[in-house]
Amino acid sequence: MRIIIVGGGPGGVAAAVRAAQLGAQAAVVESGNLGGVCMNEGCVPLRVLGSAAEAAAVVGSADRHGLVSVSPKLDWERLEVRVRDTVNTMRMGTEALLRSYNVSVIRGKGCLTASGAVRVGKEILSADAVILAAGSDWVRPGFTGDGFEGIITPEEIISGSRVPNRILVLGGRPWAVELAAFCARFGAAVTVVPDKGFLPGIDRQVSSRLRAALKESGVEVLHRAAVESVHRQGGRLVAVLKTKDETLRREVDRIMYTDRAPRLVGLGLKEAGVVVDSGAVKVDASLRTTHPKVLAIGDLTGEPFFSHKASAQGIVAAEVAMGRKRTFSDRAIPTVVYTLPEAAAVGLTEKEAKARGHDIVIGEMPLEVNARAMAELSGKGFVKLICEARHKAILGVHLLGSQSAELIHTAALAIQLEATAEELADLAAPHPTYGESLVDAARAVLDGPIYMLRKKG
Amino acid sequence: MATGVYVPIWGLQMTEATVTKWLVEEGRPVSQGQGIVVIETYKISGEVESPVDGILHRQTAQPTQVLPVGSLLGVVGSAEEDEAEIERVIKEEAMVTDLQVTPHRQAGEGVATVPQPPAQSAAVAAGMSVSPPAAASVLPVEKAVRATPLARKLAREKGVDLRAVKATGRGGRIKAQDVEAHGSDQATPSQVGAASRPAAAKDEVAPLTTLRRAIIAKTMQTVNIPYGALSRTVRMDRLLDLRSSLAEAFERRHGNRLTFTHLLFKATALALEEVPTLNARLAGEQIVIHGSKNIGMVVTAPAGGGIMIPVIRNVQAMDLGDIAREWAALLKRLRSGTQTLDDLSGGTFTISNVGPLGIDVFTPLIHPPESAILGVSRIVETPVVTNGRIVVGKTASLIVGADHRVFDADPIGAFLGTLDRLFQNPEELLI
Repeated sequence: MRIIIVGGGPGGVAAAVRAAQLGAQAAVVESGNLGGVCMNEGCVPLRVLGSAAEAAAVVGSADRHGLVSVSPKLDWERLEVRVRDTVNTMRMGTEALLRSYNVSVIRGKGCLTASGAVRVGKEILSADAVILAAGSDWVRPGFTGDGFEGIITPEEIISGSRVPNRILVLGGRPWAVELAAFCARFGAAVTVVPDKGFLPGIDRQVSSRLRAALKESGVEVLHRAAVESVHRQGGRLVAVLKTKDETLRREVDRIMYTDRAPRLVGLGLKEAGVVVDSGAVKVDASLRTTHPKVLAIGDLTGEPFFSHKASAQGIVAAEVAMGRKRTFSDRAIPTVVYTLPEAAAVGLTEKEAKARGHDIVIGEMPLEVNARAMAELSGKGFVKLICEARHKAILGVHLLGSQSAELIHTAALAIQLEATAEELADLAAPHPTYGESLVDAARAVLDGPIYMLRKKG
Repeated sequence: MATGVYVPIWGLQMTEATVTKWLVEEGRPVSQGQGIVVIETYKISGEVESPVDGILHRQTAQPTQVLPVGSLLGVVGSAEEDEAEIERVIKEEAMVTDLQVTPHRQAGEGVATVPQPPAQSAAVAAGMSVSPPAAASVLPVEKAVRATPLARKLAREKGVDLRAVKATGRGGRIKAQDVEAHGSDQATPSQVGAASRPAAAKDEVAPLTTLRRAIIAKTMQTVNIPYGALSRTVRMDRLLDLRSSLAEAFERRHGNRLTFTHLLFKATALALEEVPTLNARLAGEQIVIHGSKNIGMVVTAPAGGGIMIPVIRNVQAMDLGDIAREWAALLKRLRSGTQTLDDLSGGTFTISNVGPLGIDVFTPLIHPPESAILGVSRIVETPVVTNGRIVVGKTASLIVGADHRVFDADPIGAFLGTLDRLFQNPEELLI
């Protein structure tokens, strides 16, 4: 079996390794750097920046921890080096990984032919199966105005120009919110215009608490607003914003757009007869496209644009290509937001659960009573567990607070295994951990939490 | 020493039982031979007795649980029994369960023999007074069902047997959607335009009874049989006349009323003597033609909710008086719930008389491992041509449902021809 994977991002790399494990001769076609946007300009560098912001926050609150206080200051050059070092190390690791599985990396842009082969430059590579993993691109906003200089993508912040004094962030996806929080942490005045929703997939109770926390650190989130036009005025950009009942002006140094869309152009989809539906490659539950030899994964198949979705799909697609019967379920794909405090979610929000006609019960535990949160002074946050009322099947888990991105694994596993609140309530959660609150929230859904004062009456 | 109480074997065909109810609470004293728990198979229900004097320490099985033969029901021990000793007996049961999932297949039989744990043979023997063949128990191959917690809850609520659900999860795990999809051919009414349509009536949902489960299992066995049904219309006048003329004398002599059923048993046994091919069973690479005519007759289960097939053995050696006596005794045991497993098994041929239901035409299902069944329709008055004249006669359809692997049309034709002759000359049934 020869399998060609178009795109060497997280989805493509996972697909290549899995296909090789199953005995395929796999090749990855990549025109840029291995690791894709995630490793080079996205998740990984963002996490380095975020961790610097978190370190600053910890150091900044040293006196509360019984230490002598110092005031941390950002050194862009050193942070830039750290970003580059981390990215380079991971990129080398990815190259070594693919080499160890004899996966060949073909440099260039891959394009499907009518017969389902892949053309790279002048060369035509035939394959038994092709997995499209070309990812997504930043989408330039369509507002009018003359001031296009100074309108940037997240890459320009990440690659270390510097934090502008005033910035307007367009979009409300996790990476947009993380960048906004990072800029604010290091002194910028930040306005977020989540024109397509603020953290979709995360329960409103979590997102509104997070918005309040962000506001305290200098991030203004304008709800239901849209940029009408942008003008240049002196050395600055002036954005005219339309909200539900007023028109606002914001003077900023930079406008950052953060929306993404599947990278459909140049893949030869039309020639090969691969159908595109609502701007994304159409796939069935086994990730097959309308071409019998071609599968597609990751951002190319539409939202959510998460690296972990792409790699999970990559593994399924490789197995399907190797003849296994597999399907991909998006029911337990978590969303994580690295802000202070962290937010994470998996499954349905309260609103979605109700909209689907579920009769629900909610278990909620504030982190103010969590032992680890008290000891570590990270007290803000809560756990919200949404269960279907009859069988207590877990429909959604929404977290706000320290380590949420790690704790969401437990919740995702519970949903994936179709656990109910009873199984979760039986868990002997180690003490002291944040997970204890998740377990007690499950008990709250059943007969009542153990570690909350008894309700009167 | 603690002693386990196990599901006994009440006949060769018994493979599992449903726990009905406990008669003794945990911690109460029991004496040897005392009935302590009621279990039922699809054929009979009965009490399992305590094998020893002592205290019932544990009820390890709960009502509605379905357990294979040899499974642990509870633990009896002395008043100051060691907890570890009780645990040992329970652990031993785990060992038995492990053995059951790795059976040794016997050639062509699709059944497995299971080694008996040391404590069990005695328990089985003491379990019930009905002749338990303790040595070679026969168990079906059964795997532990893998299902998610939610799927288990849904199945329990809907009364769905997880063993019958098709799994789509990883490693054969049954998911909630699989339980939902199971038997979902009753389409839900469309939401569109719902207002203008009459409201949908509520479905009634009932869990499968043990009997229904057995009928499902039995009828599903016929799915892979290449089946044919052949019929012949026969005059019934003379047979019915004979019954009327014998009625009084028969009852006086035998104490039972002579019925159409008795005549059917007798005529069928005689016809099978003449055409033994139909009294056969396909067994792996061979066809067994049974010497004994063990004939079953389909009856409605006394408790309702299904059918049962009591069997009269060696009908070929019986006269009508014997048949009437045996049949009456069988029905009495069935109604009082005291039937044995042997009353309901060991048949070589079956009769299904749907005449009382007012049915003219049907295709009777074979009762495996038998290979033929005689169906009898209702008797009607109809114009018949005899000696060139149209007269009013009483006729019925005789239908043979047959397994085409075992024989073809010829013997069925001969069998139906013999029955026709016997019905026209019913005096033959008396010699």
